[in-house]
Amino acid sequence: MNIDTALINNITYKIPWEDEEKDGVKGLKPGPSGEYIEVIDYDPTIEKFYEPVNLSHPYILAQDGLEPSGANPQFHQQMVYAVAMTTIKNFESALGRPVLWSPRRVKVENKEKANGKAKGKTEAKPETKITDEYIPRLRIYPHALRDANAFYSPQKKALLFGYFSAKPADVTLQMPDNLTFTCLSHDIIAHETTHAILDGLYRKYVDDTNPDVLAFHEAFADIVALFQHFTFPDVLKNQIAATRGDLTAQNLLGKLAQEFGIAIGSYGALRDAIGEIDPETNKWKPKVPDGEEYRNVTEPHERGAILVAAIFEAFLTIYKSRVADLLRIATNGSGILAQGQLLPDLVSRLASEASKTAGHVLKMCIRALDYCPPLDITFGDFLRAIITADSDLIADDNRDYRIAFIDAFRKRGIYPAGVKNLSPESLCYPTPDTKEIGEQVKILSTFLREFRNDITYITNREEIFNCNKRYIAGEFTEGKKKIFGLHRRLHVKFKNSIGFEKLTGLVFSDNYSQLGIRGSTAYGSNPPRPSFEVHSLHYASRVGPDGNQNNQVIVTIIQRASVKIQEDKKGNKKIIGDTGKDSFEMTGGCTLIFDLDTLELNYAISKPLLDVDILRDKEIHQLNLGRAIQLYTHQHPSPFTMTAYQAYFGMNGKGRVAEPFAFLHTH
Amino acid sequence: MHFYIHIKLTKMPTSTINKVNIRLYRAGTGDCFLLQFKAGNTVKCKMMIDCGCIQGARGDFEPWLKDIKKETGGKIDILVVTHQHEDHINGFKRCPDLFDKFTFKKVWFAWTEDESDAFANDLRQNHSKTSMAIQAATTKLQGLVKNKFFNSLYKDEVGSEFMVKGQEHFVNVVSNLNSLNTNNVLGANGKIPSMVTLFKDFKVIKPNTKVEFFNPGDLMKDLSELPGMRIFVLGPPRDTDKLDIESAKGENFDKREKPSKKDAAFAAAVLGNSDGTDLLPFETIYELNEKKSPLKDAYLDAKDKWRTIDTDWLLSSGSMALRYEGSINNTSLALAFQFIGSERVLLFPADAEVGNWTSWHEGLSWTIKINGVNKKVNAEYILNNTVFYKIGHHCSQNGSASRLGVNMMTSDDLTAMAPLNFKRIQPNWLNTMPNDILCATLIDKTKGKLYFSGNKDELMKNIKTKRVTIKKSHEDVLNKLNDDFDGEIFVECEIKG
Repeated sequence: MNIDTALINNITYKIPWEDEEKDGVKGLKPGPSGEYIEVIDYDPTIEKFYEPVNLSHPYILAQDGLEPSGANPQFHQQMVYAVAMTTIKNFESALGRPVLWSPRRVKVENKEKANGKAKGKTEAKPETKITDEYIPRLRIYPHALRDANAFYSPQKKALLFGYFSAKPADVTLQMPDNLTFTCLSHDIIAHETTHAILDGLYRKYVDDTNPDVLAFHEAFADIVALFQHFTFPDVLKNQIAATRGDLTAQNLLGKLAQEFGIAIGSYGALRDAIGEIDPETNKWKPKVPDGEEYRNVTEPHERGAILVAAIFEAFLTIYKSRVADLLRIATNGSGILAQGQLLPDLVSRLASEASKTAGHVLKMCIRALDYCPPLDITFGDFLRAIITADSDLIADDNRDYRIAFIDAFRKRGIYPAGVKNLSPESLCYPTPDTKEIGEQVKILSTFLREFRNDITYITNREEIFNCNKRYIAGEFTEGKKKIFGLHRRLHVKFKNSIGFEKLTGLVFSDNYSQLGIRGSTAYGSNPPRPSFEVHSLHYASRVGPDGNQNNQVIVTIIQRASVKIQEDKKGNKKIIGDTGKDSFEMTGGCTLIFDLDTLELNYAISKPLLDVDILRDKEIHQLNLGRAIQLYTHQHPSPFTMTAYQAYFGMNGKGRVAEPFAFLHTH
Repeated sequence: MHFYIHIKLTKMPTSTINKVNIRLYRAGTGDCFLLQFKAGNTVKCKMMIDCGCIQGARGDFEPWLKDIKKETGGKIDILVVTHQHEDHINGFKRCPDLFDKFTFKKVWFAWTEDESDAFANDLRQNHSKTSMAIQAATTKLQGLVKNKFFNSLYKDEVGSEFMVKGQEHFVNVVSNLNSLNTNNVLGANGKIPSMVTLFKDFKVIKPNTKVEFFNPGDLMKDLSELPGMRIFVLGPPRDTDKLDIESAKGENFDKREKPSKKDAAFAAAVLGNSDGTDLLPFETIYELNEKKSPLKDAYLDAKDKWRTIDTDWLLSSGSMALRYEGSINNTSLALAFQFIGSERVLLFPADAEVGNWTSWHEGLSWTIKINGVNKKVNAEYILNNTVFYKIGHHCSQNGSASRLGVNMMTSDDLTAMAPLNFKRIQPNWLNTMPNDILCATLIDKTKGKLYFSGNKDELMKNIKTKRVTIKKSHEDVLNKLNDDFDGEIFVECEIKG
């Protein structure tokens, strides 16, 4: 990968110093192995371990790490560590809290009684309990496969990188059949690390419930890798300085993105979504967005590329507006530069603007994650999340950033469901109507303030994980502060609460079993109450550009229903709760965002199990037919839309493929 | 007075072929054709094209051979062997004793089997490495399933049953793909032999059998066995880029590396070949060997077994096996038989995929005499005149080019045969065969003259999807033609010259 080899010579990755003492050893251990990551250089294809690099060694520290060397596996270890850590740190600064890896869900023998004990989940059989194990470190295997592939394994909580004998396009640049290592590509490492981080936030985003879900995973990983690439001004300076004449932002930066697409190749969503080299003029030109593509394209990479292209276009629009005055000055208003090289000052300023804009866009995308539903995500949901998150933090969008995003999505035919028009105001999620449940919300918010107080002083990630868990499931251990967990409070406080049902689209009423929802006897409920899961809980603190601070607690709830679609002779469909033959599982969920300063519920972003319109109008409980049909259709794909690999190796809705990302990345 | 009556004698072509009887034997998905070229009622030439059936057992082939013996007396003038996939040649493998009693005057192969052709030998060498690697990987994976490796790996996971099933499904598919490959055994000199050697073992090629190899662009005419006919050789292309094309989309990443055709790194590891650089990516000085390391301990810790990656790399064999299937399909000998007088063509492309089909239109031409005049013709001419089409690759989408293939079949007297049969078929093929649009297009073009190897109702159910429309009149023709062969071991049609 020539582009990256050139980069390495120019870039120094600045990684925060790891100072914690563990097992008597201070700082980063050989591997490298640290707080977030452990690199294990084991090659299973030849059953060999390689000597781990010790970045804490004074010799190596003094020279900014090992010199780039493809032939030294220790450099590979250093590279994956550096890029992964950079990606993690960028995420943390945008999210406003530490990155946690997705926990490992295991079956444990339950020695406690099912009744009377606080539990976060109540669907387990009495003999086995399901529990979430904390995963301290993501594993990275830099030499795991012999294939032109690299993937994140949600099951192993690990990144696996492959290497292969390459046929180079240009034999003057590289020996034929030379080994190419995917672990040496910044873009691929950043892409895979993002998969892992996203999985840590929303582990249900690997459930393929609509055509956008897996596409979103791919696209988001590309977005982070792409914009992180752009945050290195040196990279941009080279490209900008190499330009003569036309400074149209598009061609310049688009070409860079194009090269990213080439480098990441089939590992990412991008490919040629952004643009291509015009065969006649030999110049790069942007791809004109096609409003039909989103409707027709279903393959996750191709579909994801549409989203990446949309975000990239938004970035270009914003960048152009930011440098408009610079260009006017530099060209004396004509927009065309004089012959010769660009002034180094101008190059610097342009590069720095591009880099800043890239950083902003990246932050907007990462922050938007907190405003997404916990499952079944669509591109439209993501657009709404971006607009809402940005509006929440930045009151005055004087540079029209939000309009740039909306426009880019609109041009590609991506319209969120149920929205009347595409203005920032319409797209922003509305403040939920909590009249009916005002009191309960206030009490809940007060409880969540306690949570915030407890968690604010915790910096250790494992303790954060445990604190989250405690406040969800409750704490009844002797000698520890007693906590009635969030799950129990919701179970009790919103019993038969139609108001809460209208808000979340989930079932809390007594007729739950007709709707295909299992009963739970948790907390001694008799008769049983509808089962649900508090999927996640976290505290987010964000500071806007004006110094304003947001203090929010984000709760996600999910619920499962077993349903069946019935069709009468006329073709009219109906949905009922059913656990028999031909039934399938539909999951609903809701993201609730509580404001700790006002003690109010700011947002309820829902993927309902219930038909909320009928509930609102007539207070009748009916399952959501639209979502069920969409789910069923998606999980029984017609063979026409499959790639050959999917047609042969796919499971056709009869189960899960072993490794979803390895599968996706193979063509 | 002497009267001389001049009578113009027009040469009566009683000895030139003017029709052909085409019989497709049906026990499952696979090709086995008996062609009897006739001049009037005399059979001039008896030709077999392939003899195979996926997952075919001896019991499947015995009735065919009995029938062929009956029709031909066991004397076959020409045997065409199109490519080495099992579903085209396993009949020979299973019944060498029966074939021993047959005589084959000539056996035809593509240039790929010519052991004096350096390019062919090179290709076979590369293919053999890939084929053996896939075989080795499949064996290892099957071993893991047998030893319940995945059950133990995932035992504590929630949803472990799904994960185990997922892996088992994967291994099944790779095994199926692997089972297509015949040549997994090394010959005496460490190389995989060509099909010539194989067919000698099958007792098909005997000392006085003439073996011939063909290249694209070849033209056979004035053959003593086939008076009145000429044969165009369309493929396989002598171009590895074409042979390895899996799909029709173009690649415009001219800067990106692609995995080397040799897949050397994977093959070396799975076969355990220690021939130097292919196997070890780094110098031995970097290896940890016996030295202690907490990371090594962490990896080997039984508690963390669920995070180990000892077997994930074997899964790369999946895409490799799929690519290889396409590569071998593209080595299919693609022939077009033409009646000289009427210019009508019988097209037999075996399992050629897109790479092979498109190569027909790139630079190939033949000079033939039409009405006494020399004319240079190309693939489009051949397709325009096609009146019989053996549907490529069992009705998959990849097996019939559309723009450069079926769309150019403009004759209004087209007949087609589909060697697709659900009675014996690999489960993963069910997603790709039959392709509804392809079959509906052919039903339309043939006006219903489409013969199925398999059960017509079963297959039509899969063809009549929401995307296609089929005329009732065509369907009626199709039903009648196929019903006539209910219970028979073959379907048959006669094509007039």
